[in-house]
Amino acid sequence: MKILILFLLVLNAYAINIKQNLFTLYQNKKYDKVCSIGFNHFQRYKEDEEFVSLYAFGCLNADYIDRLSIPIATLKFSKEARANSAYFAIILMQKKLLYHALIDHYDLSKYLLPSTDYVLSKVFDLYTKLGKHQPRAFYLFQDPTDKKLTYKLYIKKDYKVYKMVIEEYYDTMILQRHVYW
Amino acid sequence: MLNIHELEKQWKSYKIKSYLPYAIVIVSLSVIAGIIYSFYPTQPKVKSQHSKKSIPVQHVHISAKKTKVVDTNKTIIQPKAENIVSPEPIVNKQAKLLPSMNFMTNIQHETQLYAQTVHPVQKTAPKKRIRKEVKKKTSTNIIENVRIKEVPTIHKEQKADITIERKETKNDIMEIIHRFKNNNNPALSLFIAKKYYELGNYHQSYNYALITNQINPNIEASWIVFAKSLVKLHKKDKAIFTLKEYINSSHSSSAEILLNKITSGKFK
Repeated sequence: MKILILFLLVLNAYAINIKQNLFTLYQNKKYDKVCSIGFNHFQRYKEDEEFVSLYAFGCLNADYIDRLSIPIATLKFSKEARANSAYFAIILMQKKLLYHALIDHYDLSKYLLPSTDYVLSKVFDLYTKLGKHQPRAFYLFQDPTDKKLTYKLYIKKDYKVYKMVIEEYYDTMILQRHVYW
Repeated sequence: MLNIHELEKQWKSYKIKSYLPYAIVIVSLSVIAGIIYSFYPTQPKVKSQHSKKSIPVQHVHISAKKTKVVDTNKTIIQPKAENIVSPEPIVNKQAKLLPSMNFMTNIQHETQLYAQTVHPVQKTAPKKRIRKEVKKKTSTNIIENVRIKEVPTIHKEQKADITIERKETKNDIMEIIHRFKNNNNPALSLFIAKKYYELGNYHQSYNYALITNQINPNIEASWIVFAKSLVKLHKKDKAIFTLKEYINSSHSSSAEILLNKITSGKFK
């Protein structure tokens, strides 16, 4: 019996420990690790919405947008989870639509989707505002709130797939490069 | 003569004891199985949930079909103008979805509780340190107040060495203020702001941080001292506003950390 109680305690401590590790990694902005650890332990904690949300935000900040599809489906039991699920769903949809538009010259001007504070959403909004246009090699957008902040959007042909690249610039200085495919 | 009753009792207890290990094994196995089942729920359970949820959807389909059949039997009537819901003019205002990060506080709380239960010894040590620091701080504050008011009776109660240190720092600040007035160097004004903040003179630290920002708005440390001073002066909203503005223009990570601390109430 003692062994059983000990086993239960160890199991519980292990579960909390993983969540704690994930949380500290997230706070230290190691989103890559959050996403990969969350992915490895997802099956075990898929019913824990806090864990799933943390994993999803890690993947979002690490630009692994496709991994959001499972959290979108699983986050549904609390109000907060549903809000986050909708938030991720919009970003995933905008990514897919923008990718489709850039490669296949699909017209996005007819859509008016909700926006988010994520960089992809900002670029999506700026792209749709262009209306129907001739395809370009790259697009340069100025942030409506900060004139010094600009976004460069282009498609890069990789070995196998086309990759959509968004570069954030602040006064000609590159801040971040996001690659999606 | 044999005592049969006693023998029967002994035999019963012997039998129970012989079955006890088996019973313990069965109970423990069933508990472990229950735990494993809760951790790895099997597919059929999920399927049953889905099937339960899909039932009302099917009903809706049937009802929709029924209404369609009724409609086809009747002659097509133009809907009345009153019944037509005219679409509202499309407003170009976009809805903005925002993530909900409240779960982070729950996790933080959970992990703190876990840390308290797992490492109680480690937790108590810093508490003592904090207490000591608080005691030290309060004592220095008293000294400072005494110095400002210049009441000799209370001054006697304080340790002489500490008061000497205070005088030095004040002299230092006065000297630096004098130098700053001569050359208007933002590094000096920032130093003064930081010193005043350390001493708890938040009004002066606010003033000098503001002067530094006016001379050079790109010094991160100055904005942080400015925001911290505002919080200490009970102007939390102003501090949040200025930090947000600064983050928008500079994307400073330390400013973001401070903003999070202020909004979460960690920094008071």
